[in-house]
Amino acid sequence: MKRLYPVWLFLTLCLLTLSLHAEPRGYAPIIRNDLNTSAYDWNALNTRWVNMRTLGLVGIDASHFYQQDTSCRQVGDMSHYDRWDVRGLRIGTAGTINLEAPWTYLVSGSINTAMQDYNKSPQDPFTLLDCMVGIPLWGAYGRMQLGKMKEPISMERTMGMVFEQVMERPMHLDALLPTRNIGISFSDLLFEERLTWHIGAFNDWMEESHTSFSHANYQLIGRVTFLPYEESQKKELLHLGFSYRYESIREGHIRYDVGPEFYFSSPWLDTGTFAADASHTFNLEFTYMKGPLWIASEYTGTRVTTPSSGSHFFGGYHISANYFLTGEHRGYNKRRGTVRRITLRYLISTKEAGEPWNSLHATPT
Amino acid sequence: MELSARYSYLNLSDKEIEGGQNGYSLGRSHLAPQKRPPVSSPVESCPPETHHPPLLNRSGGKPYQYATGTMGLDDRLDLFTATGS
Repeated sequence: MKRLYPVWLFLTLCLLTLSLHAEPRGYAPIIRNDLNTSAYDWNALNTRWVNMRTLGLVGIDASHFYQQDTSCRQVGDMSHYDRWDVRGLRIGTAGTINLEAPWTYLVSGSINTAMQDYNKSPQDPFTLLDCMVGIPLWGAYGRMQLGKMKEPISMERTMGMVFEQVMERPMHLDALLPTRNIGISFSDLLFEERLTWHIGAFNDWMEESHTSFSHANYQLIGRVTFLPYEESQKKELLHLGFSYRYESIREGHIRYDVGPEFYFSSPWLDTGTFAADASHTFNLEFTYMKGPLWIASEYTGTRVTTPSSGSHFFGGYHISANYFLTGEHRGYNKRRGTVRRITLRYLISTKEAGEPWNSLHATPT
Repeated sequence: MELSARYSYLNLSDKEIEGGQNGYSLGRSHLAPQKRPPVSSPVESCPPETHHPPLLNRSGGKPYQYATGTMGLDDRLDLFTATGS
C-alpha cells in the first residue's frame, strides 16, 4: 500500500499543476454520458486542460444480529447485537485530461480512521481504492486503462455498489473474486454498441510488502458482454456476459473465505490457506430489464490446481429480482456493459423568477 | 420505492477431498496443510492467519467466537437474503 503513495502524490500534483496553469473559462466538460459521470457541475472544476469532479461517499450501517439455535450450532455463539457503524468514508476525484482525444482518470480512497475497510487492518489509516488513467487508442471507444482499477470480471463486481440490486454483493463474488487490482487493460465497444470486450493483466506486488513483482501472483482476465435484444422504446433489454480469470499462484498458497453480510464479521465459509499452483475462474452473467423490472443472475466457478492433491472446485450463484413500485427504471452503461443508476421519473427543479420560494417543478424524464 | 429479493448459494468445500487430510468440514481447514487443534475452546483456537481481527461483544469485551468448522456444519450452506427497500 505504502508503495503507492508516491504514485498518488505524483498524479495529484500533475492534475493540480495542469489546473492552475489552464485557462479557467470557456471550455465545456469533455465528458460523455457513457463515462457514467454526473451531469451536475456543482462539484466540478472545468478548465481547458483538465476537468475534475470531486467524489465523496459516507456510508452508515445499522446492523441487527440475532442467532437461532441452529446458527449457534453451525458457527458458534456470536452474541446478539444492535450497532451503528461508519461503513465507508471515501473521497476522490475523477474527470478528463483534455488532450485531442481526452484521457480519463479516477483517483479515490477510503479513510479508515472511523471504520474498518474491507480486508484491511485497522492500522491502515488510508486505503487507496482506485488510481487509474484511461487512454483512448483507437476508434470511438477503444482505450487502455492503466493503474489500480476493478478487475474486468462479473457485472456485479464491475458496477458500483450503490447500483447493486440489494445492499451487498452476492457472496460467491465476495469469496472468489477480489475487488481491485493493479495492472493494464484494454477495452472496446463494437457492433452498434451491442458487444463489449475487456482484457487485462494484473499484478498487485506494489501492495504486498513481502514479495516482489517477479514472485507475486499475476492474473490474466477477460470479459465479453452482449446485448442480443434491446428495445429502447420499451426500456427493455437482455444482457449476457462471460468472463474468464487465470491466476498464477506464484506465492504458493491461496485462500477463499466469506462472511455473512456484515462487513465486520469473521468469515463463516473458509477454505483455509492451502497450497496451490494456479486457479481458473469463469463467470456467467444474465440480466433482463423491462421498465421497472430487473431480473439478474450470475454463476462463478473456480478450479484450483494444487501441487499434491490434484484440483479443487468451488462455485456459487445468485438469482435476483427487483421491481420499482413507483415506476422508475435503471439505465444501462453500454461502454462498460453494466446496469447503471436509477433513472427518475421526474426531474425536480427549483423555483423560477417570480415564483414562491417553496415552489418546485417536476418534469417527466 | 423498490422491492428486491435475492437467493444466493456458495460452495467452498470439495466433496472429493472431504475428510482427507484432517477431517474438518466446511472447508475451513480440511484444505489447510496443517492440522488444527480441537475446538472445545473456540476463542483460543482461532487460526492465527485469520485476517479479520476479533470483535468485541457487548457484554464482556471478549472476542466473538470464530466458526471452527467442527460443530457439524454442513459443507454446503445456503443463505437466503431478501430485503425490501
